[in-house]
Amino acid sequence: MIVIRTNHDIATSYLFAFSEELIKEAENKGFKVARIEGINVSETNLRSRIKNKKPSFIFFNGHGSDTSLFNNQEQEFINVDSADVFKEIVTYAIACNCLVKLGPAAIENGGYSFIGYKNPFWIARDHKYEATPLKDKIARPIMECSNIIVKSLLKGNTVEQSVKKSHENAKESILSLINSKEPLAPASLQALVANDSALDFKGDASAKIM
Amino acid sequence: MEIDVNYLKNLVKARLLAMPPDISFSVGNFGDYTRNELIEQVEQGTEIGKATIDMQLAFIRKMPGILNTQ
Repeated sequence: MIVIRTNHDIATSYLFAFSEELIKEAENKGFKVARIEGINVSETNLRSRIKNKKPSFIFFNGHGSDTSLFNNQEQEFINVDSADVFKEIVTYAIACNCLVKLGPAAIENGGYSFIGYKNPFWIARDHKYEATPLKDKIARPIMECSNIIVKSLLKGNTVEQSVKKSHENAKESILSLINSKEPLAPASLQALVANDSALDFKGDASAKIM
Repeated sequence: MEIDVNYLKNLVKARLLAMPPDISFSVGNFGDYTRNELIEQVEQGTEIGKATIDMQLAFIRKMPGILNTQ
């Protein structure tokens, strides 16, 4: 699998930090994980890795738009015109809005499935933990709902099952947050509901990464 | 039914004000906003302000369904 992670602002630093456990989990399960990170995020590097590694799964963490994924300089590096890069691969992109047009373009170009978000991806956070995202209890439920998709795929579940697990996890977290006495819980709650509403996939529901 | 934009703005601003001030939101490539900065964006009707309203409306619409399963 290929994991692409930008890391140039607070949001991407959160995605970067919370995705580390997924890389470890993948490696423990025997996946060979190729990382493309920071300033190395580019179309050229991605195509080269795909050619060499022939991955079954691409996991993108960073910014995006309805037509594109952005690199570390917040410039498009993949868009609807280069969506053939997703051919014969299952992709999960934590990037705003990319399911709207990039997702369908990936499928039209032979991608097996594309999991993503139809709207902006919200991260509610406690700014005390800006430098230590993993300690941020406000962001954690939001990131765990996203991480569960990758964990489920790594267990051999289908795309549809994995997205469903995320929705189920979101529902449990939402109910827990409603009853929480934590003063910052409403922020988590609202971000979680927004992201859960925006999460979906295109392409083959039965696709797997192993 | 047409919803008054000012009513929506005031509703969303009030909901944001109910949150503690040390909360922040990272909203994709829109950037990072404190609670008060988001309130300002809603008032100004910017793109992030509209995204915030959409987020709040999604929440309001979805919650009854979730609570019914509790």
